[in-house]
Amino acid sequence: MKLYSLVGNEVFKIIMKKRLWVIVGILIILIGLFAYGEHYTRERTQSQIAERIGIDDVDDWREITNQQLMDLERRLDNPFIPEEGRASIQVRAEQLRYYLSEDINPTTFSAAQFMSNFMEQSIFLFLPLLIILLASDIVSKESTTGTIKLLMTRPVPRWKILTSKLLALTILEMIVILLMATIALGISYITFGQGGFKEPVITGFRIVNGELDVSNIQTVSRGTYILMTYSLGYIVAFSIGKMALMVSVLVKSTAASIGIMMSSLIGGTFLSFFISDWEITRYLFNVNLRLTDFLSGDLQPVEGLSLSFSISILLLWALAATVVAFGVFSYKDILD
Amino acid sequence: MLKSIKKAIWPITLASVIIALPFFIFGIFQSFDVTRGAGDNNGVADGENLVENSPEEEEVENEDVYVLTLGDSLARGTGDEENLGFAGRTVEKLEQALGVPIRHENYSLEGLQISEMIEQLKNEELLGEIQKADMIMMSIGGNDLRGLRGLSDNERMNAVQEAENRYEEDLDEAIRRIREENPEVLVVFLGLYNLDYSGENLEETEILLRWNSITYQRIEEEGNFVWIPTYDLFQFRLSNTLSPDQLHPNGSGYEMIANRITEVITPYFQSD
Amino acid sequence: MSERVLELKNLHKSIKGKKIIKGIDLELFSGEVLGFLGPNGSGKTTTLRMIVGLIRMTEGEVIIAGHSIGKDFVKAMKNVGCIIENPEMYDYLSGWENLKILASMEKGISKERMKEVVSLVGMEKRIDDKVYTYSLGMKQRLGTAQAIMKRPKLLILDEPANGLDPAGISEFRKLIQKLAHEESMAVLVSSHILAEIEMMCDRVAIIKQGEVVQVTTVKNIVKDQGIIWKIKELQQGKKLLEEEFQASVQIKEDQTLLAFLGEELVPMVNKRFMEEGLGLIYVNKNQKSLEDLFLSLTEGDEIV
Repeated sequence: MKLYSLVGNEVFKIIMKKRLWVIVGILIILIGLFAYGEHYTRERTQSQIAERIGIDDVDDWREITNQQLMDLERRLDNPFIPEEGRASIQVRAEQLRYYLSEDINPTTFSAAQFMSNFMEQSIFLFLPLLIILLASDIVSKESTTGTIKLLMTRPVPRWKILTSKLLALTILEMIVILLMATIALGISYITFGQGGFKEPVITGFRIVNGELDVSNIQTVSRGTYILMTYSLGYIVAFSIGKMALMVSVLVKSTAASIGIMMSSLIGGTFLSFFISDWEITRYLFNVNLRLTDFLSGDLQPVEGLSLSFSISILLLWALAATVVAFGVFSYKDILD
Repeated sequence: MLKSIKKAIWPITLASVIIALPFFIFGIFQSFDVTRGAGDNNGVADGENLVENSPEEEEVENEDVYVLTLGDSLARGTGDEENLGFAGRTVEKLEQALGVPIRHENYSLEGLQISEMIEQLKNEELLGEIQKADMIMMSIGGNDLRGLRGLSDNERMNAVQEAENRYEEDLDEAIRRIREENPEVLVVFLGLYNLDYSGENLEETEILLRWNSITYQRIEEEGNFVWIPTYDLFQFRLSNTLSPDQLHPNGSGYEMIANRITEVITPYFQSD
Repeated sequence: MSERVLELKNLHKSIKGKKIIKGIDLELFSGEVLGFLGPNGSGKTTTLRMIVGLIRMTEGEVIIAGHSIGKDFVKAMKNVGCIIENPEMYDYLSGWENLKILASMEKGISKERMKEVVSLVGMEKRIDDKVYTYSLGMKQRLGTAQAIMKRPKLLILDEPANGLDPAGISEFRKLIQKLAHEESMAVLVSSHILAEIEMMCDRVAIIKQGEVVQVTTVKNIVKDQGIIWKIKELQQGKKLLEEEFQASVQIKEDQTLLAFLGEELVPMVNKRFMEEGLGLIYVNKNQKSLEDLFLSLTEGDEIV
């Protein structure tokens, strides 16, 4: 099975290059900052609220939650909130009421909570960025340095060479997700001290016709919730990676490769804000990246998405990108 | 040593991925499970549905009884497991009792205070609906009152006097506007109940009772206005009728209120 | 057992509508070193890249050890080792790691063979250092090592002497000739250092504007073209040579005598010229060098 050693070579090359370690460094620094920031904000909010309603014990979560609920309800009084804003406040208020009635404490913060929060917040921009950094090199750099010639003049067909790179990339996408999880876990455990994996989490909130639909609500453990968010993260990583691979095959310079992917990522998101009624926006990959929002019942920027739809769109894009990559790679002339 | 680490890189990487894979597959299936059945309309706030019931519906035949609900979270039905509130439940009972279809629109808002209601009463569309209404149900004042909780004795004296004066004025203004728009409509006004009947918090209870009486006295000056007390309803069964947030009634609490309202106003309609 | 290792049949290549290679036919046999010579832009590199499959040919065939590059890429390339242009490697890895990666992509390259090749190119001391620390010459040697690891039937070298110092060039030449003559490798070398081609190669193919204009053996080029004498008394010298040595003689424009006769007779002729007092100034072989041939063939070339 020569593919095994080919993929092994590619993985080895990627790991020995500095790029992966840059990614690890970025993760550590950023997660550290997020964790600190989250910790600080929470403590401050809690003591502010506690002060305001005159309780000493910051741990009396029902009081605090009640107060938060009332604050939300007050916000709804403002006749000038646009209707979409009103809806999301309403949704959040309903969720808080549900927590209260089910006796689930939404105020404590744990490492597990941080982990899932982190993925929910990173999945549509930060994570793609990391993957783009990782993947853009894969073919571009070898074209620039000329080592691609070494690979192409072995008695190995071109498609196999690209396949080995593709598989290596797929494996490393998973590694990046695992790294995110591990680093998030490590840093947040140190910061927050609590594990919190068994804590029940409500998920399955759905917005149907503008109303909160609680018919499919389930409680899962936070550990399971983390598994869900991170596996959705992997789907995003997988798709973005294939697209970055395609751009890497088409474009010789690594910098241009990164630039193209980043601008389509960001540009597409802007587009979706401005033209959210066009039929076509929902088929862009950039608006389908917020997979974890389906779990938490948050609103999507574009109408009419569902988890299966978004995942299909992402996978279709990945497939198309792979086909193009193989097509071009197998036939292009290596002129320099 | 470095060499053997290097040699191990690939197998370790591959192994960790293979081990992680089943977890990820599980996570994906769970995600599908949790979001199952999500129809095409998942995801967007159709702002209209959530916030207002659009008044742009077709002109109703004038035979239907048209009931309007205004006010705060009580009028909204917060805390009711079935999401009806006293308004929805009253309408249901009234329909049964009278045997006629009733059209119901609810314009209440969470946390509404009376000054804000007055702002609402400046809205052209709302005034238009008031004009068409046969009956208006109102619940307001609770949020104004809540602002007076938890004060020290000194602070309380001044604040209460001020608040009561303001409330009187605002109540007067609100009633005036409604009457201007629709001189004949029946207005049902809900009184406030206590959150603590134990007698431990006498000062606050006093304020509440005075509040209720301000409302009662003003209401009864008007024709076709009726004040519905709720204080006694909750007195001996508070624990069973309050929702977990310890503030709003639960389903049974609202049921109680709705029963009383229905009892009081049914004769009004039957005498037509 | 001389095998035809490489055959180029009617090779054409057009890029963006422009014809770069206009029909090349070439053959290479095991055990011989063929030099590929041409001015910049003549299509040398393009042709070499087509041979190893980096560029697709528009028309024609490349057959290596009986397998067509187009139809049987893998089988054909099993027999080929090459360095195309610069010997780039993964510079964040060591020389040895580079070789290991490349060896793992083929069958039958053992660790011993790798070590053998490393010492053959003289890189034992630095093979475990990262490639970014290598000088150009070292990279060349590593490149050569990677090319010959698998004992290919065909070795293709694009400008191999680039960056080598004279000692290195000399070593390299010896290595190539050893590979060709002792291991019967067919070697295709492209270079523009004529002196090197002259010394290293058995045959030379000269390419100009996408076509091979001449293929000849080096021996033929440097074969004897007669002897030149510069003497004062030209007419008398001519007469002497014709009568006493039966040589055919020309008087050249530059006032020298060009005579065709065996080399062994030259001392005698010199002695006779001196005896007759004809004023011998110098005597020389009349040789056309490769440079002459090259320049004459590619004269008047604009950069295409």
